[in-house]
Amino acid sequence: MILMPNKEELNWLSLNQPLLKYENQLITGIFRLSKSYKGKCLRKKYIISIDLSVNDENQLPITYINNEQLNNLLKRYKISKSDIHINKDDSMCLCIPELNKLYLKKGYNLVEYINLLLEPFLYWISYYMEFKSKPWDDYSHGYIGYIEAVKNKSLPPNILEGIMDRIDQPYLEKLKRGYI
Amino acid sequence: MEKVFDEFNRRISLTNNQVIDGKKKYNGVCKTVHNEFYDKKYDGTTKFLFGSYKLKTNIKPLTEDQDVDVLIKLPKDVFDQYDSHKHNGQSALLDRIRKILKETYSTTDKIKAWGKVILVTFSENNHNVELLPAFEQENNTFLIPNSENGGSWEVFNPRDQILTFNDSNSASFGLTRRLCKMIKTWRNNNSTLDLKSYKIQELVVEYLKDSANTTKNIEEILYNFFVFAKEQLGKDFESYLNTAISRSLKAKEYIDDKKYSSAHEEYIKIFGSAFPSYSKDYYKNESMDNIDKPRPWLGV
Repeated sequence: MILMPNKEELNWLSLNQPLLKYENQLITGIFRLSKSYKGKCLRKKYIISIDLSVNDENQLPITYINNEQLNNLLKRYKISKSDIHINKDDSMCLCIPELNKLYLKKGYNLVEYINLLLEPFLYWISYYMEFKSKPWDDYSHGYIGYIEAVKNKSLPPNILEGIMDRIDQPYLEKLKRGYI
Repeated sequence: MEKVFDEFNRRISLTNNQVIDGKKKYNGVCKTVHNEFYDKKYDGTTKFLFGSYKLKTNIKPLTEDQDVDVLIKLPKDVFDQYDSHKHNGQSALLDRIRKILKETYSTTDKIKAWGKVILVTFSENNHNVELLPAFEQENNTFLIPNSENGGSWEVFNPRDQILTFNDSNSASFGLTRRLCKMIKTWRNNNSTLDLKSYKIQELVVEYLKDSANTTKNIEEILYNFFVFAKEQLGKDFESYLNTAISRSLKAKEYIDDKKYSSAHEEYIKIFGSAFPSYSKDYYKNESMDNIDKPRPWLGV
């Protein structure tokens, strides 16, 4: 299915990110980041592509960074894709999927997807590249990340359960017994 | 700063009414000529728009120099007819079209034919139409009449220019068009600067061939462009570009120092009053301090 943007979302895009255009199930163009956190303002531009085709209504769009720009950044800052949470296919790992619901409380909509997931992610990687440190904690890769998330006692039970479902049994046992 | 330039871009872009007015005029002129040479009803397919109106790089305020460039495709037998003239069939063709248009357009509108074109000047001096009669070739170029020096046919290829521009604009996600419009505004703000629009377009396309320029901040894009343009153009443009380079460098430095009001003053010197004055609303603190921020993660 395609998460087609509605008229309000397209108007918002036109006003706030005028260099992003919707066409053929994709929103592509230049994302303009201009945000501050704890007094550190960062202005950057990223060439991205948001793929609005998903397998089911629970899935969120996947956003990709332009390969040429990405390779230039990796070379310039001497980092790897995994340092900035970019997958092998250049897609961005915005957060642990189950945790999306913490930010998109009413489910997916384009404006919140951009404001509450994509933009913070781009700020995080911009900060990391610029200052070689993390503006706020990330999660470790893979299963370790799940386990770190599970240990977060403030998570709602349904989200916690969703994450635990993803953890392989042996790890789950160790987790329950406090070994990890 | 990007939002300020969004507003600037809105201010210099043609309004819907202006676009409609331009379209009405060039279609009117082309239809008049079409009806003389074709039996079929005019549907726009015998016209070919090129230049700034095709590329959508025209800006406000409209001036009398901003003509709509359009060619009208004429049938082959018309070419044969005027090619077989003993003396300057090209001039005869232009004159015939001038007379056709004179019958339709009021006496207060001026119609002149010379060189390669017929110019229809409307009484309010907006969206004057510069019409080229043309004959389409198999290789997608056009033959156009040149009435000077006894008359000849010239090859004209507007499609290449359009393709090059559109490719650049696509690759730069719209920056080519935006930058063209800004630089035209700079040009118009310097009344003695004679820099043709087609030259501005060529410079911008060439500058943006380096794709790294596309993702720089706007103040850097502008400053770097003026430096690039100075390297490309001759001494005739040096003083104008030196001034633009100096002002855009100051603006860049003011932005780095968060002296936004001073940056606006420099850009107003560069672009004129179309550039927005400083308002703190443009710089409302866009902070993420108070939102829950997701923690990035990388799956297996």
